[in-house]
Amino acid sequence: MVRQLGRYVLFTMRAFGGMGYVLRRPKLVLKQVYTLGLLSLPVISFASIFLGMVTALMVSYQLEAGVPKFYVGATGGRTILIEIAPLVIALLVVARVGSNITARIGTMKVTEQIDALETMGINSVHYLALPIILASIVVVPALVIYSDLISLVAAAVSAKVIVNVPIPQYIFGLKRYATLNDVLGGLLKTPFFGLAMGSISVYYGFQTELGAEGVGKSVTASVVTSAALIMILDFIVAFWMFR
Amino acid sequence: MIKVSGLSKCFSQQKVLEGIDFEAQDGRRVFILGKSGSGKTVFLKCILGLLVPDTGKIFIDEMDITPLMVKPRFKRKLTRIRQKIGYVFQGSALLDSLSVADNIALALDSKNFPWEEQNRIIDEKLEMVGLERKVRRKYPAQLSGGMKKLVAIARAIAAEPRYIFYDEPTTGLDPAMITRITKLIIELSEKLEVTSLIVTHDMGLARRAGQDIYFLKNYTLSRPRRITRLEELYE
Repeated sequence: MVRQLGRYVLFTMRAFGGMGYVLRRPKLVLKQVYTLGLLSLPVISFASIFLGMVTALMVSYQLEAGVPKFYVGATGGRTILIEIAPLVIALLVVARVGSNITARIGTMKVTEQIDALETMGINSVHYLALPIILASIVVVPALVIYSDLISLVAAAVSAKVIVNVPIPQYIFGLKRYATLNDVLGGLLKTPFFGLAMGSISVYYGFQTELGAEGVGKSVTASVVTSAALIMILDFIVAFWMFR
Repeated sequence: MIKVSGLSKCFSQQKVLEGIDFEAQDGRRVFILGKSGSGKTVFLKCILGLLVPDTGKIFIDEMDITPLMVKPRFKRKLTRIRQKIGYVFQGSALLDSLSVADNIALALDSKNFPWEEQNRIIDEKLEMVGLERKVRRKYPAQLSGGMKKLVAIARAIAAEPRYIFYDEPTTGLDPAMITRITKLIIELSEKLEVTSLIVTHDMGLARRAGQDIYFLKNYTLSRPRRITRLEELYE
């Protein structure tokens, strides 16, 4: 495990060594931003709507009778901003994008496409890995901001329709209790989530061996490791900011 | 010239190559024949530095490249050596996510040519391998096995290498395409004056296009005395 961790760190450092190469070819990153980010929007939108609805419902269920209704906005909104949207969206991105990256690079490895790059004098880690890592660092925060907005709207609407909390009261609660610290606390961790997801996904892709079975194993290892690391990072940031 | 002396390679406890001595003179078409699994591709990949040999030395244009494979600080030097070599992979190894034109353009990545020049080279190389301009925009998944091979050859010659390595260039192709590729190998070696190193188990191809023929068997290379008796070597 320690050896694997060491290899991963060295691999990531090697990838960042290609910053000059990638900066001269910004198209490589933009292409990944499109693939990882824009193509994820439908699934993120769908998930965010249900996240907002279920959060409003669960908060109103837990608040006892007599508690002012604007607390649904205050508590639900803050929960979405601080924890639920960043964590769930990051895990969703791992499932949708991280697995795709590992499978794609793993397949390239077993079909000698990566060897082909090397024979043409192209550093495959710089060409393939770094654009994905950089795009992930940008895309995950952007998707979380987008999800925050969709979830808050969905929560306000469902609070009105399902548990009869007027929208102005929901907004009042949110404005009164949600602080800048909450928003930053939620967003600050997302670039690290992106870094973890992107680097782990490409790392396992590059480690792939032994054909289709190897690709399957790499994808499983990549998704499990990324999800675990994201949860550890989530706890570290929560401990640091909200203790 | 490519020269190999005392090359050995093992994977775990499995011996693949042992004490191989080999020479490919400039401008020649050198064939390495051998059964499947005899280590032909491993030999090619060792010369390219994609696999690091356990022992032995490899010289390309009189430069010993073996130390460059081991130390990461020599990666740039190794890259420059690799740019002298065009490699046609057994499975073509075209990047799935890129069009035919972009795949060929990859070989020109380090040259920093302006776009128009790059386009001209892509068209020229496609024409050389006998493909029409309209395949430029196609993706590898839209091409037949034979066309993929031709694109892979176009990519291998794009950067005007001194050496072209072919790994099983005719495997899995129909007879018409085998004839076409055989002619192309001869044509390119003469027109571009490159040294071609071809590993294959196709004896017909070796007979038609080979100038120097080696046989890989029992981990070592040998040169058969007569080309007509190749079949006996497989026994």
